[in-house]
Amino acid sequence: MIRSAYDVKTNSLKAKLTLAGIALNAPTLPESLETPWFVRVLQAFSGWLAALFLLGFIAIGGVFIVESAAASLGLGLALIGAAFALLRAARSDVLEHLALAISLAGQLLVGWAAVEYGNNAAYVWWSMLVLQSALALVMPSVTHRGFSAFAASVALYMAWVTAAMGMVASGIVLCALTALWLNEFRWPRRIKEIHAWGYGLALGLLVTQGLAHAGHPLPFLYDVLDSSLIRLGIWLSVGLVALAQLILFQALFQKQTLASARWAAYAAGAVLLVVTFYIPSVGQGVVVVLLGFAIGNRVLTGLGMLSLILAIGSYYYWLNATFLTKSIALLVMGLLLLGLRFGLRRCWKARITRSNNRSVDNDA
Amino acid sequence: MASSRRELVSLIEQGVIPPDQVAKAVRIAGLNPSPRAWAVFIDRLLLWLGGLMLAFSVLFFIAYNWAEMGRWLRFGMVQAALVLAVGIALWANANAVVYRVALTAASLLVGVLLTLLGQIYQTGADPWQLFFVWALLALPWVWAARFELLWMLWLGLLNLAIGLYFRTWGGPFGALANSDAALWGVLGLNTLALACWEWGAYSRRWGAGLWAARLLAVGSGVPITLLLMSLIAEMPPVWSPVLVAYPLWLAALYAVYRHWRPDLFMIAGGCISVIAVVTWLLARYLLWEGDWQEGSLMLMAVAVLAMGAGAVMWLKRLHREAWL
Repeated sequence: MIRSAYDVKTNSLKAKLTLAGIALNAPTLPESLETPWFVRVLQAFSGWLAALFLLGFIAIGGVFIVESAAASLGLGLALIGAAFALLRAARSDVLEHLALAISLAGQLLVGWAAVEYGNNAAYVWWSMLVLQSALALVMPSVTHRGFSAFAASVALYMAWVTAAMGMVASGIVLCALTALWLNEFRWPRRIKEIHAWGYGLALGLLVTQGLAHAGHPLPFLYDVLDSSLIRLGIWLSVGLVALAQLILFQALFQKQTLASARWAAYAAGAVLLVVTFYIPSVGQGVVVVLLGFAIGNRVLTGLGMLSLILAIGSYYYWLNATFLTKSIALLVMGLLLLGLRFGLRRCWKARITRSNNRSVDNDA
Repeated sequence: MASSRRELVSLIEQGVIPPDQVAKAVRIAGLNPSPRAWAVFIDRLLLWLGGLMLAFSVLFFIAYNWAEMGRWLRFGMVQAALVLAVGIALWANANAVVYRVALTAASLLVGVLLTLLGQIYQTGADPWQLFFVWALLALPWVWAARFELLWMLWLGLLNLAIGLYFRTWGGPFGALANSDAALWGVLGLNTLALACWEWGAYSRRWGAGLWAARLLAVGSGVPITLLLMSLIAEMPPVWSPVLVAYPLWLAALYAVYRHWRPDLFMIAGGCISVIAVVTWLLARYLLWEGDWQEGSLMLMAVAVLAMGAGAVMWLKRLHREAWL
């Protein structure tokens, strides 16, 4: 029944592909409906809650474990190993759920061991980054991979924050995310994993932006840090946004080779980098919006919009300029953008009128 | 485009499309926008960003509170910006996007004007009054714009006004429980808005977007869940109208979104609410009143796992049924 209904819905695309000369195979995997994202959120939410209680059980039932860093580490790794085995062996929802909770409890124990072993916060966050990256790569569960990619991006941010360069982490995540989504179809057998990593990183980017907006997550560290590191961090982050832009433009202009469009895009990108230098996070928001549109992914476009709105909100609280300066900057940028739109419309109108007489306003 | 993407991904996952043909299939599915689609998108993006930046520049200017600048000049500037925004909306009535951008900017500028009024005259008004008057004055433009994002922003203003009002003055359910009164206020507003939204979408064919209804449902579900959780936390347990309202709310959610206007998101939200409430109830009796025994913690972990797994299995079954 599912197959016949499914066939009706995919019929048009299948027909299009066949007409284009693509010889379609018989399905090698059983057809399965994609689990909606909010069901995965529910799964992660209850998994996390159960993991906390499980950890409480371990902490109270075996106090010696949390008192010893080695025991915490050993048990944590054993739990993660058990979750891995469970996920490989079973494919039912109940077991996946159980494995998720066991793995999360294990990760918390490993994190606790890192706190016990480590002399500083940087050590803890770099350890968590290594752990989460490894889990994102190996765990045989899409929900787990997505969650681990998210946790890895937050750990990376916190690790860079300990050096007063949190923005650099956002730039690295932005580059990784851009490269990943632009190559989502490159390894067809890995598409589920790539999507899980892609959404995990996008969510991580937004959360770290929120953390930066809320203030320094580890304010006590800033007392001992050199301000030159902060300046270096700003330059590096702008450089990484430039790299992400470059990756995106390179991918786009492989298909569209109109020289004027290419030069206009690079010029706009350069202006965006100047803006990003003064209004952090604007660059990353614009890149994610453009990336989402370029690959036809509305969720990503929406996340990019949220990032942009958050960037403008953060600008209000930015202390390096007075409200008057910020107001003038916004006024100038607003007028520039509207002027640019006016110019582009005149250019496009002429081109569109020549080609098929349809206006830019016709599309809703 | 979204459904093409889903279909294409599904076909790739099943191995229907040969790996060496995937790039071609992506091109044929039309995931990558055409040059014209890019032109439309860039046009809209520049218009929205430019329009909102101009409106925010006025807000930032007022926040600067330039003492040397006379009050009439400041009022004149904000009012001129407001008139300009409304004038552009009237002039560009035929262009739906310009019309919406202009009315959104005008709605923001009303708030800026009210802030300036409070800044200059130090009226001593409560914050809820600012948001309430702002929502009231912006209503005609929000109504005229017929734009769901603006409606949501407007409802956000009302949420703030009602929440702040009840937090300040208490409510009909007890002057002492002011935070509860604020939750009741927000719950009432969002539930009413959701009912109107769904009624409009069904009977008037407003064509309302799915996301707006979902946002309103979250605005209704979060406060009622928090109300019940705060009641459970009370020692000793007392009677509250939420004991009746919560089951009714759940039943209505199920009836409406399972049968009348099927939407799995709403049902999943209801599941998260029930899991949170039951976990809280168990925590109260097993942990706070049970001296945090390790057996109780294990029981809690098992209960949460069972509830989560049960909910996921049920939701997946409903998803399959909806597909059929």
